[in-house]
Amino acid sequence: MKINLLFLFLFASLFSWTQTYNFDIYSVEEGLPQSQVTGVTEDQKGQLWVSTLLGGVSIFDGNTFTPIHPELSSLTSVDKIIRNNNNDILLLGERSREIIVFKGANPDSITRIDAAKWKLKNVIAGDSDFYLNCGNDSLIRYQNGKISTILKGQHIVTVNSLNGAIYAIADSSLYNLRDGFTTYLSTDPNYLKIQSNIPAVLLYSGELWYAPEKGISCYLKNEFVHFDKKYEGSDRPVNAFNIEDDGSIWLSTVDQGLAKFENKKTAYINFSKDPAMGYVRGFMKDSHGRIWVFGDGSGLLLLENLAVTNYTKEDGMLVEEIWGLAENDKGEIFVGTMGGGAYRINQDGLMEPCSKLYNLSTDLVVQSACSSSDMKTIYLGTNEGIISIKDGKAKHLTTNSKFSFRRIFSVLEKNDSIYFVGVSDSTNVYLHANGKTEIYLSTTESKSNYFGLITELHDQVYISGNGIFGRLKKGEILPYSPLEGKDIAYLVDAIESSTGVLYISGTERMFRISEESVKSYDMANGLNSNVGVFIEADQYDRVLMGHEKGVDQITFDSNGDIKNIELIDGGTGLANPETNMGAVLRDSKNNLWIGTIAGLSKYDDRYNNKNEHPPKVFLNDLRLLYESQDWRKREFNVEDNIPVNLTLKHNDNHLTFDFKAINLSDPAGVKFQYMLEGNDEKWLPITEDASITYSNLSPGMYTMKAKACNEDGVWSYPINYDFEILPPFWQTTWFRISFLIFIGGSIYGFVKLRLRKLKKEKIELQQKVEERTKEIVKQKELVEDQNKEIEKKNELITDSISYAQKIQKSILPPTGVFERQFDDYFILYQPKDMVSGDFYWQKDLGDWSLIACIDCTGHGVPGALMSIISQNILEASTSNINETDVSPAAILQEARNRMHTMKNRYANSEVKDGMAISLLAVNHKTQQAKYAGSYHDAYLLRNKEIEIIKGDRIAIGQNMEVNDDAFQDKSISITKGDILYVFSDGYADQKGGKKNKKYFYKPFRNFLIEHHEEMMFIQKDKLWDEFITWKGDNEQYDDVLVIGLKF
Amino acid sequence: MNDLILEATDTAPKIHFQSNGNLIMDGESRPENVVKFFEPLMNWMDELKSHEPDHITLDFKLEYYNSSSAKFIMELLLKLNNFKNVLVKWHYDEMDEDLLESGEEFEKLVNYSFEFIAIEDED
Repeated sequence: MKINLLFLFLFASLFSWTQTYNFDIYSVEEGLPQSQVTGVTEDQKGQLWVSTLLGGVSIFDGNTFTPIHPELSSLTSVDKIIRNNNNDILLLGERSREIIVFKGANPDSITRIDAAKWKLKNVIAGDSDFYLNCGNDSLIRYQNGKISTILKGQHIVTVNSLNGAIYAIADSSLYNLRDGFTTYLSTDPNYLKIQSNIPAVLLYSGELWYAPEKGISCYLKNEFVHFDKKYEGSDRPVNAFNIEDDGSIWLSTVDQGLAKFENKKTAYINFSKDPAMGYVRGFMKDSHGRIWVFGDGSGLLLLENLAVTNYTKEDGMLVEEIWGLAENDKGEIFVGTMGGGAYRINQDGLMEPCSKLYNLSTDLVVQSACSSSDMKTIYLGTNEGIISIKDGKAKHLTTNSKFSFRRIFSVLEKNDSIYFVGVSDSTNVYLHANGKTEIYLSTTESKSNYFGLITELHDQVYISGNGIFGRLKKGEILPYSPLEGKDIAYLVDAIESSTGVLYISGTERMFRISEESVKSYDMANGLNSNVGVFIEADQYDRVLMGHEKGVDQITFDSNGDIKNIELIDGGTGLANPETNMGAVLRDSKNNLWIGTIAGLSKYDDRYNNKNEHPPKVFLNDLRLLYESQDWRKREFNVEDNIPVNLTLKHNDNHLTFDFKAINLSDPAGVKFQYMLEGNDEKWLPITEDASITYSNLSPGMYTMKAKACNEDGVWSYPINYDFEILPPFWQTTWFRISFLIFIGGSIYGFVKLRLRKLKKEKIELQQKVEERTKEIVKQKELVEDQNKEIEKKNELITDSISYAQKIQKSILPPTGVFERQFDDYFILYQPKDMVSGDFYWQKDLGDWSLIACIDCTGHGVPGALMSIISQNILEASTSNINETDVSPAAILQEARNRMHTMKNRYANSEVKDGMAISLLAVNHKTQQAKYAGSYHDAYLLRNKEIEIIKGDRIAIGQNMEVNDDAFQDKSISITKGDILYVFSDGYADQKGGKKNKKYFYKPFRNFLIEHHEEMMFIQKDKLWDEFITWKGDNEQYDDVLVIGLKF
Repeated sequence: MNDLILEATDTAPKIHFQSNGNLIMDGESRPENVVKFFEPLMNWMDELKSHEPDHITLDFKLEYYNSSSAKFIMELLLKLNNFKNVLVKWHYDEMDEDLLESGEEFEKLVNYSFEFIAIEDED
């Protein structure tokens, strides 16, 4: 990682991409209340909450900005706006002198707290809470209107949310903040060297990225690396940054705008050239992955799809005119240039010259390229003939032939035969097969531009050319019959789409040949050029035709008519609009590579995809007789101004439902569909109308259903709104009155009769009750007395166990020992009860350090008693041994003997208690380790694999006869980076999961491997989280002890 | 002779010992009083010996047994040495390396063979 970082820093400024990126601008003209945007956050409905310096807070739904809470407009400044997982939105207002929270993102549910005394700098969202950073002072936690102070008086470096957990670095320590509790994780004095309250991001790798006064820096394990030239010309601090899962870094500064560093490509994209971008305050990534930039002057900017990466001279290309393009089975792209040699681009996007890789000429003219059908071989058509590249070696295939070529402008491999169009004395089609080259087809025409490209169609080899298109045979071309009699002019390139439609481009028109029809198109049909120098089809059945103004991306309808043409040119990032003949490649990942006269462009399919995110739909208003209602006044529970469990009178039956569908990438592209269950039998026709009105609804239960689709026709799940229209009041009243009269009459007589009898019985009953009550009171008092006694005893027991806990803790070694001896370590020690049968032990013997993980039978108090005995035995067993030759096995044997002697002292040797133990001896000088175990194994993690170091299956403390040499030492040579794990069985034996099974060792090992690259304290945290998740509602079965030691 | 059938409890396994030689132990074995639980089993085995069944198939399906149970299990397995056509089917969860290992240890100590059957996790 360190090397990568350095590499990134050194070369960042060399490989910079400087073309313009497009932004959608939302400024005052679009309804933004004020042009100085200070913060943006997204609510659960997909709406943006935009805070402005002087215009308060507005909610943006894609179409309009709606100001909320007019009195907030009087704020002079809003510093930050953020949302937590509870959908609460917090504002830091008036230069952080006030905290304003909207519970559930509801503008009407507002809490305001005076924060003048805290000097708030920054805020991080938790699950149901917020953590506010007061810099050199402390951390404030806000939850449900309550404020608490944590980490008081400490230098807060950062608070950070990692995968839902909140971590804080304060003074020199790292903490996990969970529900307001701080759990200490580790210490690093270097943390104090980092300024407080600056943007900082802590990664799982333990790297801490932060933005000091200039640029950004990274701190990892005693190493500070500053990103020196991160930002061309910026001497202002980074005000926001974000690190993506793929390692790329987004950041913004006031004067240089937004930038992105792509980790793998070691490249730097600067978006700052956009003149619309003024004084940038920061950026936000929304739930669809879109980047919003905000600041002064610029207002709010949405970064459009990042579709293009360009390769030019700045990437080390000697000549920028790109022709031949081909991909091999490793996903490497080969790029031919006009006289500047060939280049290879690896999977990570790094370009290297083939002159260096394969010892080819630096001035090679590579006008064509193709790959073999198995993609293992690349064929380059060059001025030195056909060159093959396979298994890392290049070979000139045609040097021994009688031909010399000025250039080869088309090449195709089929069944080990290579067909190519070469220019030597005249232009011919050649065939190279079985090591020999021959003229396959010669032309009598003297014109050198007689042929077009060779293509493979229907598993046959075809060739195009001046007035010709047909199947290639030795010495002849069999004309393609659908084109017979058509004015085909000069045809250049052909492609068969995935649906079997053939497209051919030429100098005057383009042809489309399907089973139904043969059609041709030119500029009269909307094409941007008549001359198609290449043609390609993408996976969406769009056709791409290259020409001198760019590439036409054409969509056809089912009749074969042009539905839509989009021009890919400089405006959409193409390196140069003028494309070259045959210079196109759709690679195996559906990226599109286009060669131009000045640079190569890669259109990334990831970004070119349609919008897969359906709009978020919600009911925004419900009106009666077209009038908006204040539903609260009608005594309904109201959420977002919509009544819950709505019941309406029979004459309130004229309803209008106003929906909203948030689709920020194209608000105008939204369409709706409705159905009122109980009235409509099926979904109504698709409409652009966001409202629907129903009148004269008869009494009954209804469910209003609505769904919406985005500009690419991706539909949301329907949302449901239930309501009821009650039957007319008088109907039910008549029914009730008649019912009452009838029932009332019958009851009256009955009651009269019963009343007398009941009175008598009542007196008897009262007497009985009194007697019983006395008895119960007596019993109750007895129970209460007993409870009190139990409570008292419980208290006493708890007290003494607390004390026992202290005693037990005193036998544990201090952690400083581990810190000194290991590069990194963790001890996950989680007893089931207050005291534990598990414990760990450490002792230094000369150059050797002994580390043991002990599991005494039982847990709780019996286990703890055993642990004290076991600790004594271990101390005694190691008190008198040779420090030059420490043998864990011999120590275990000695411990076993001592345990037996001790137990035999008692007549009753029924006690079967004993211990299982992992005993590790490490010699840091010789990098040697020895392991012996009683029932326990140890794990050695090296090269992403775990080696199990077996312990012996011999108990300590059970009366089974064994030989003196029963325990065996296992030797381990340590190399840097190794991690040794020792542990008791409490972790792997915990029952839980879906089937309530043990966790088992294999998943335990897999978990260790999966997380071994992370810092040890993070591993510990994750191990425990995993345990808690696995355990679920079960109790913890046994004490848990896992120790990880990193060398 | 009668079959020995005991239903499973929280701490004791299900026992289905049939006089035709088909024996099943299934569940968890950590009875509070091990002797009280295992003694009837041992006696029953002795009685079975006098009936000389033509085979013994023990389906051993214990997911867990404590160390005091282990002693008796050992004793039970050693008793099987005196029978003919003995097969112990040792079922274990495919992830439970410990259980497999202890089965393998037991197998070394007897004169018949074990069949190890891994129970696969379906999800």
